[in-house]
Amino acid sequence: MIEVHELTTGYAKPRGKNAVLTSVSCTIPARCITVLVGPNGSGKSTLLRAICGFLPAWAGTVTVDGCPLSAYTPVQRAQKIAFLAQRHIVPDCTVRRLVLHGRFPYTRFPRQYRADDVAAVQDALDMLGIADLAEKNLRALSGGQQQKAYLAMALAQQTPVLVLDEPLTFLDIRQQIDLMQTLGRLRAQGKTIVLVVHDLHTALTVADTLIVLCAGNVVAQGNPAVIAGDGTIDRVFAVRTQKIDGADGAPLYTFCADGAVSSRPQTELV
Amino acid sequence: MIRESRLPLFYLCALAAVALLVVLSLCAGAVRVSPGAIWSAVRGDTGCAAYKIVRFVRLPRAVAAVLCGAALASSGAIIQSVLRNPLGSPTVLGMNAGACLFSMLCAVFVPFAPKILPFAAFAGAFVTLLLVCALGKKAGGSRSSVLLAGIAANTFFTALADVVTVFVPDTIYGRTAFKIGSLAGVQFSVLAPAAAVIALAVVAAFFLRNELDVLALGDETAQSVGLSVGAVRFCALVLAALLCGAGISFAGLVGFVGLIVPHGARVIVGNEMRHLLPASVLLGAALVLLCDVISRVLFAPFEVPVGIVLSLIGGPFFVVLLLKERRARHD
Repeated sequence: MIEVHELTTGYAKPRGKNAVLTSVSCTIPARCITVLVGPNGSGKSTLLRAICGFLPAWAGTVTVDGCPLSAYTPVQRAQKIAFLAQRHIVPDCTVRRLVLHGRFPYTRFPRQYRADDVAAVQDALDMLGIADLAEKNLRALSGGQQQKAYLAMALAQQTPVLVLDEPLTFLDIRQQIDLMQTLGRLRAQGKTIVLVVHDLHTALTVADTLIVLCAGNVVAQGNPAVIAGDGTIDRVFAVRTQKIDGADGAPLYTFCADGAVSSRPQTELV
Repeated sequence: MIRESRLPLFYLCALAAVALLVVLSLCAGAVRVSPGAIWSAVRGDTGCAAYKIVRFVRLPRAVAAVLCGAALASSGAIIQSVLRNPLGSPTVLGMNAGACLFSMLCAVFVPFAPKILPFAAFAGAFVTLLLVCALGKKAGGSRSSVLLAGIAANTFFTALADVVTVFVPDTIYGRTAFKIGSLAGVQFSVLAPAAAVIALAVVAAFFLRNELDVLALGDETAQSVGLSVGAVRFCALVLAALLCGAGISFAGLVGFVGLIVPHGARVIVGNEMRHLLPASVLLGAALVLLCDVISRVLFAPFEVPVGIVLSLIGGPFFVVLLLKERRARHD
């Protein structure tokens, strides 16, 4: 379980500091899919970075399994939390070589990869169905395939926590469904998954726990169906949410712009 | 990029090319020496007519060409990888100018200790590199801001070096040959400390190959797999500055090797440092050897400093790179 308590953090500016998150508290339950949603600039990616330890806490704490994140060494942290960035540099190497870098936290100087590293890489490639791309150069692949290769690298880290910043970017609808099913399987295996998703319907249907951010604050956290029903989504995104029962009984959510709703967060939400 | 299975053949060919160019470097020049006479001279036959030419002129020069090419090319490969900037090289980032200034200051103030010259040159290259990185970061951290900071540092340190030359015109590091880059007159006594530094730095950089590959994936991705980004970047830049400083300490301001060679090597062996570093070492050595031979035979019995030949090749190559960069940005 990851607990964020009264966290204030952001990015250092040339003159002073610019806090993006202010006194944020939330809990990410273990073995669940937690989805962060919020309008652009609300601090979703910043919160992910703070959870991964890339941004230092200016105030407050982040604890993983009861231990403060600052107590972990970089390698211990990498064995605990894997991170998929929103944007990637595409190196001139094969998919297998990239995924092998996911085993970096388990190597010691002079960084020789062992048989179990190679096996972990193959497992990750198989899980995402990209084993046939293993020997292809990353630069020859589509954006979606590159995204999967990076995800495979994160999976090869074999961490209990997986943090994904907009993993659906570059993926077509079928690949998005496949990825969500993969995340479901990973959750069933006991992994804790935290992700940022812009598609609200996907967020509401895949999340076990939904965290809604607005202007650097957590405005709601809990069951996605409850949050969708209590008007939080409508107020934060200035939309009107409609829930429809799908053919298989699963809920479908549609959204339309609501000009009557203020785009500013309502104080009673906080 | 060639297939991995063919890489041993590439390394073999590159090694053979370096060996061949060393022999050519020993044979060619104002006085032609036969391979047989070279063999006698290398074995220590003092009665051989070519002994003094080979032992005291051409052999140190060939070794210097190998060391200089290997050092500057591997320095360029490390800088380009760490800064993720294909236009990064000791020359472009002003490290050559910084190393030159510090070498001159060392020659002026501590003329009795030539063995510390490689370290003075290293200090100059390292200070310049840190300054350029800090300035580039302050100016926005983009590729172009780092390059512009490099140009500014280059101009500034070159001007300071000229000031030293004006006030102390007798220093050997004020000579035109040093500023252009030349291997003429190099001696084993000067090469020895630089050779040790270069060998150690290349080996250390090779041990950091996986770290450098992970760093090249971007700071966040590197951090996510447990890499201490700041520490690795600092170590790599120290090694790059050591290599650049050691190369410049005996060869002068040889330009463009650190820019051209890593690019050529990348086309052949790809981006991974486990191949890019050894390939840069071999191709750098081969290029400087070749240019040195050309510089000696082109207008024999006169010779052109090797830096001029390298710049004549490097200048157009740099322009091609800039155009390719621009095209890549628009794609």
